[in-house]
Amino acid sequence: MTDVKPQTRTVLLLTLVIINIILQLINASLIKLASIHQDDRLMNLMLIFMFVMILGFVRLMVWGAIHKRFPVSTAYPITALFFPCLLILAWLYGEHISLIQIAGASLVVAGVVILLWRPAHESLEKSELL
Amino acid sequence: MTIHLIALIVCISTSILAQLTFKGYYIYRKFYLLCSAISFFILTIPFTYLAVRGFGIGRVYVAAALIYVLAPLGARVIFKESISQRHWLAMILIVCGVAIYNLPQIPL
Repeated sequence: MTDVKPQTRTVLLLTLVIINIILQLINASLIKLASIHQDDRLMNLMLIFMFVMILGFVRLMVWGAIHKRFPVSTAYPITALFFPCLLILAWLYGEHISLIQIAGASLVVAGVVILLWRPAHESLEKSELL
Repeated sequence: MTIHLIALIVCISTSILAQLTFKGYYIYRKFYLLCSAISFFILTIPFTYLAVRGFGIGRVYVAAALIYVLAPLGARVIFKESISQRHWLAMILIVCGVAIYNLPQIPL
């Protein structure tokens, strides 16, 4: 990865993380559906778990690609972009979302923006290469 | 409620362990680290389900944001990755965000 431009590395990181977030949202939906229909047969529950597991393994492979190229302390916090999407998902499922929840999620997102912000003098190549 | 809270703590812990052992596998290439990561990952699913039954996806997944704080801290201890002052500030904000999200409802 030493011959790859910093911009290309950033695009690659964001692409991998966005794929990860979409898979995470699908998983959250499946688990929510399973919890709604908790009186259903155990077989249905096991099937949902199995599907969540398969999607999870795909996520694991995406994480493998991320871990290979970026440190956990940089790559992992970026996935907090998942939270605004989660708020919408929770609302769609009828969960109570008030100003308190929006404020809490906003603080989480603010934390992520600070994590992503990188001063110009910091070299992406030097700090992120394993 | 207690069983759901325990389930939430277990699902957060297993997620952190899965992340760290998986990272460890990519550094040390030890097969047992990969097996551990997969096991922790599989364990997370039923515990997340149990926690969601009690708290809903909003609260569970926002509480799971603590992973974003604890995983880098673990990576700092285990893999000697550096955490800058900016990272510390961001992690404090994330913890505050999780705490505020879970505040009891105040009637407006």
